[in-house]
Amino acid sequence: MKRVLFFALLFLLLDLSQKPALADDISLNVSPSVLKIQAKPPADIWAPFTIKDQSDQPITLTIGYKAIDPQASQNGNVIFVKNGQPIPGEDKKIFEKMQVVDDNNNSQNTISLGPKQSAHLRLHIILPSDETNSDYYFSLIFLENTLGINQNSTNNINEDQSTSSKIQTGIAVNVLLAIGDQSSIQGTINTFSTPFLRESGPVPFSLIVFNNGAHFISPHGQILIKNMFGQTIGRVTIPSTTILAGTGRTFTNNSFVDPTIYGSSNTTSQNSPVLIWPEQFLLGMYTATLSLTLSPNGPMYARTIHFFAFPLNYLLSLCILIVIILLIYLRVKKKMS
Amino acid sequence: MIKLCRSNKERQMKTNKNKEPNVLIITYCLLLITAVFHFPSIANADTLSNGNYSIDVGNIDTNPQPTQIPPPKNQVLGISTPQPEFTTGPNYTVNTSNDSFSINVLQNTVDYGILSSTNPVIRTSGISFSDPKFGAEILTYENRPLESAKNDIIQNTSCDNGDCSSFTAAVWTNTLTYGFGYRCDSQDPTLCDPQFANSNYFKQYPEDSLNEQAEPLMINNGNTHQNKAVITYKVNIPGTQKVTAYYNSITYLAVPGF
Repeated sequence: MKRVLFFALLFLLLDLSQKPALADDISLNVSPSVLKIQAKPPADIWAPFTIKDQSDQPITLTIGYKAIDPQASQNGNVIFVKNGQPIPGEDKKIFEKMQVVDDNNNSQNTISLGPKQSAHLRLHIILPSDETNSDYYFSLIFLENTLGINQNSTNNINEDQSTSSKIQTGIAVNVLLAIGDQSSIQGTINTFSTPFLRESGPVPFSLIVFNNGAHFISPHGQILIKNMFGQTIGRVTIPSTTILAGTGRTFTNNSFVDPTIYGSSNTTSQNSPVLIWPEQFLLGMYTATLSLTLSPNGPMYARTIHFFAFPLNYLLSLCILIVIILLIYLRVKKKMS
Repeated sequence: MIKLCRSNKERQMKTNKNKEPNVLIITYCLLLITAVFHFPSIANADTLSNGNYSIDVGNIDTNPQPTQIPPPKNQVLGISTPQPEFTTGPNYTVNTSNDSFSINVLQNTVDYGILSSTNPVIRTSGISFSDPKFGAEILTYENRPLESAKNDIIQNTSCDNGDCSSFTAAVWTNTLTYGFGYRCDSQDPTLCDPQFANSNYFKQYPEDSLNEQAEPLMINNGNTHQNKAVITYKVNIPGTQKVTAYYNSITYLAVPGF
């Protein structure tokens, strides 16, 4: 009987101890992460998106706009315009022409979300007919409200003299807004190259495309690799990305982080931004043809490069093996005779 | 003697018999409590209602039904699927990345406790973000250095050699080096600043009150699925520092790439 009691107690103890530990975590979600808007004035634009509080506590978020520096952010990592600097683009008051509205079309500067609650919002932009043609790149920022955690407030002074840092969480949605005629799309392939001579794969291709047009573009394309017999033996899909107006973009399909973005000169552990063809064994002359379309309506560009592969290490090893076998054969033959 | 022993045993057996029902009752109660707490969560009802509607269902079949698996679609090489158009209106088009993006910060407050001189306090907290289509980054800054209600300040650390700043990391191990700083560690060496590959390297937070630009804490270009990092906070004060409570606010802003 004591044994039964013991197991019952143990089971109860284990059962109670399995309750999840509740942490004061903050979790926010937005969908989608990027809004690409192309408009021709006059236009009344409505761009829907959703924000969700995924944590178990309520949160109040302040909504704001922050302009992106296109030159510093050309490879897709957002760097904001420095505080106090004017926003890039013709209309310096573009943010006054937009607001975030809820389902009832009420403008929102702050939004309160309960635990696990999501809110469907829309970015409403009104462009008058005389709006000048220009591109605007900015982030719509949702920042946890710090009104209740003002450190100067005496309400927050902890009597036990305990020092602390309040963590403020925020999340952003990127907005790429192109205003004006979309027909004048211009670009140049600044770089398409790979080392001419190589021993083996994988093969890295450097591809830099510059957008000379007035608006952002989203090119699509591929690199087809043919061997010396004209057979297509490889294909590298160029990832669909956006090139901002007046900037160039280095395409990559491998893990790459621009070291300068951290503000440091330490580049030792970095990869270079390249498109990788993962083929390992290569022999002979190869032709790589790049086909790139800057938009669904064109223009389309093509460029061809060649490279030669010779597996020197494999052949040297093979030669050494043949020589060793030959020597053994000759010695055995000599002894036999 | 034998008789005495027997009478003792009989007495013990009688008392045990009296105790047994009590033990049984306790055991049954415990098992009942365990069972009640163990199965509280799922309630399958066949009537749903509120003030405006009521739905009655005769029975609910909770057995999984066989679902028809759609045949796989053939992929044609060289033709990429066009991105779905999200919304359009007169004179405008909105295309989206068709994804979602999230940030998760495991603590909303970092408590350093009561500080004592030349006794560094180290705290850690976790931070992560989801893997969006075009990569993402987390930017960070502080509203100001740790400050008391009477405006006493714990300065941001300048590290052992006096070289570290909001964009340069440096070693900080000396207990006679004072201030406040942070470092970032992740399993993927490219996620945090590569300067943190060296252990005991710390940085300052950029200061919003000085109009300093937010600095990237973590960057993912969309090619790695490791998006978790541990942030280590370090505070050390000299003997001359007033022992009181100091506060500041540290911001982590998750920004998707494009």
